[in-house]
Amino acid sequence: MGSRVETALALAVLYGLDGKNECRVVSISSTRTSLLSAAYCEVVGRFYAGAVSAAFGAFARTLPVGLAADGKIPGDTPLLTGPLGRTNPDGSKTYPHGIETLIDTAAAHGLIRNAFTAQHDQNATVVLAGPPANLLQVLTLPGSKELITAKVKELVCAHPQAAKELEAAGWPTPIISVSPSVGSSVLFPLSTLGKEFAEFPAHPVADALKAYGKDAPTGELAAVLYAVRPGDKAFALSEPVGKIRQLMLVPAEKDRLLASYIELATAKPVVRQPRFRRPVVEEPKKPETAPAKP
Amino acid sequence: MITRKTLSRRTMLRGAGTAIALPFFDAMAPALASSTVPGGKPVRMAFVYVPNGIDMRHWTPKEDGAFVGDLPKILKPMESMRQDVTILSNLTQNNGRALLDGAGDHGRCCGAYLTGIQPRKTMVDIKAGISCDQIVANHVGKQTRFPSLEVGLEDARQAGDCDSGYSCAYTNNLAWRSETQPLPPVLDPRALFERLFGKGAALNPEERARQTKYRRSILDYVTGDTKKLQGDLGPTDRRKLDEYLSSIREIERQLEKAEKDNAQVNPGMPKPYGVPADFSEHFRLMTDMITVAFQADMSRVVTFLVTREGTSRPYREIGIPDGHHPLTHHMNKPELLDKVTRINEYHMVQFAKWMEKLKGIKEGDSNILGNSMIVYGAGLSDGNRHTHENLPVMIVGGGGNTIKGGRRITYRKETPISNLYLAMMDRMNVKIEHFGDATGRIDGLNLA
Repeated sequence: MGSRVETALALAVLYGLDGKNECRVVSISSTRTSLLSAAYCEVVGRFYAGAVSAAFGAFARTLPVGLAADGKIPGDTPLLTGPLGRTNPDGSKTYPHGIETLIDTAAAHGLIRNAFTAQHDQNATVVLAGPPANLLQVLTLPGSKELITAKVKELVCAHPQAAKELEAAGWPTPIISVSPSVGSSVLFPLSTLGKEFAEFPAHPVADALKAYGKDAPTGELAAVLYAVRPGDKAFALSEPVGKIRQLMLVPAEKDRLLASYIELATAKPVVRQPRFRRPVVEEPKKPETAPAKP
Repeated sequence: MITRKTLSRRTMLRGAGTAIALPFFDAMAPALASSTVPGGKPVRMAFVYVPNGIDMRHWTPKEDGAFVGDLPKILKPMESMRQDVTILSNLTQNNGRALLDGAGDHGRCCGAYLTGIQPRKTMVDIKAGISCDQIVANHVGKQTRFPSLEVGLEDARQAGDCDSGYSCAYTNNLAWRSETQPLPPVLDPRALFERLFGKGAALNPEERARQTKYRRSILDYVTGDTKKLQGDLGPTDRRKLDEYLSSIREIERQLEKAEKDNAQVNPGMPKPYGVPADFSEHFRLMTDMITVAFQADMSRVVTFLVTREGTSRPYREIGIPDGHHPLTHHMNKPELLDKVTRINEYHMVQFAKWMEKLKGIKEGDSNILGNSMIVYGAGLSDGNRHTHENLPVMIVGGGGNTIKGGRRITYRKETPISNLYLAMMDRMNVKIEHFGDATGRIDGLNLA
């Protein structure tokens, strides 16, 4: 998170789908070794607070964010510093978060593995928007391939190179790889800032788009949407080569697809009722009333 | 030329039906040996488990790194040993979570605690995994009389439903010899005493009571060996032997007192023979015996289930008639939270007394605590919400001069507690690549 604006938009689409009960977001990780990258993921999670789910969502908390700590993709970018540096008129942060040091994040491989353990068989889909470092690390954990085989239906990679690396490392499920042309053939319009996003006083994904400053490619959005709506007529799959099938767009569906992206990315957060017992609030005692006189 | 005669580490005091192992004497060290010689002093490992989570508000020191200011309320009894204490934050037991198995966090968290495996939800065909203490016991246990000791204070039922369909085998045991075989804790101090020192362990309660009436001290049976040994020891070792035998005699006295009291006190619940009615007395008796077992290198591996997971034991001793488990579902009511904290403190007071005792027993240039790793903790953090992350974990002791205490170390979120166990197994010279749900070994414990 932080290299491309489409990753932020894809996260917004994912939470939009979660809000429609079409999926549950159970784990979020970033391969960028940047606390701001994790902080941004948490900020988006908080924005959609209530749209998080699984064990953590049950207690109305945001998901812990997995973060690569290997330093291979270091650094903060304007896409992160822009939204996270935004302040309110009183000087307070517009998007407060709880990630100050590395210990506020989780090691990504353990976090992803733990998320798999809590899923029904063949009911999880993994979306990989960036490089495969975190998933490659998951594969090094003992028993992980068996676990992935049991729990994960398929892996959707937004970038072909990542798909190839994971296949080579022995990723056990079918892999869908978004064709490079998909992202550039439909662009997410900057103009949404003045329209759909304008309804929000502050929106971290809109701020990332603002920092980017132009229409954004949508390859990662396609990965998310296909993962949740594999039957969407906008998508077509190639014949598999090894484990990998290419995801392509149906040209006639481009306008409808763009409308879906905009609708989902700009959807309002849906607050779910937490399932835990709320603290008991003592009700003020009613004043005793004198018995009615006969 | 060196002519000093060395005493075998396996020397015992023997008498009719009795064999008493001995503590580490200077005379047992090879000539010119020092405590820096690798393998000179055994490292011990123990796990002390308290149920129903801990009030984390009064457990976690505010700052990471070296302790600053007073320790939090619950840890206060450890104040005099603060440099021996390391608090580990953010460790998680993922396999204690529901993971699609529904209710039963108490059963799961205890069954998973030392096994790192999600226990099978069942009351019949139980299944978890071999616990880390037993992996160590399998490796180092041949060097001691008992590969491991399993001790508890409350309930050792092994059958029935103890939590939403989870067998009592999960809530009432910490140690698992195999994935289907838990090792029930010994609750009866007399049974533990006789296990350690022999004499009538197989007798039924009536015969034991009859024998107790005419009992002499176990030390009387080994008088001959004791005198002979005293002649072979130097003044320091002689004093050490006297102290050691006195501590055994003191345990005997406590046992006799407990048995006498039991005849007069009706605790209101079935208790095994010889279990003191008083909780702190029971705690002290059991830990005194573990101390002797450590001192005499009878065992290096101990699990201690203070009370069973999910227990509803009341603590009338400290003015709390409510059950522990219902109290932990306090719904943030201050008066209930306060009682939970007091129970947590009460447990810690007992534990701290034991730690003081271990620290007071010299062993070479260090003491038994310095050569031990005692983990104190629970399988839940917040007992109200049944949370399995950021567990309360304290490690006490220097692990044979390998652990730097006096500080809090916070790990990244979701770090498996199994990573701690791997690091502890390393210190027990048990090198295995993988355990439970470990993703590696925790770092930061080392002296440097």
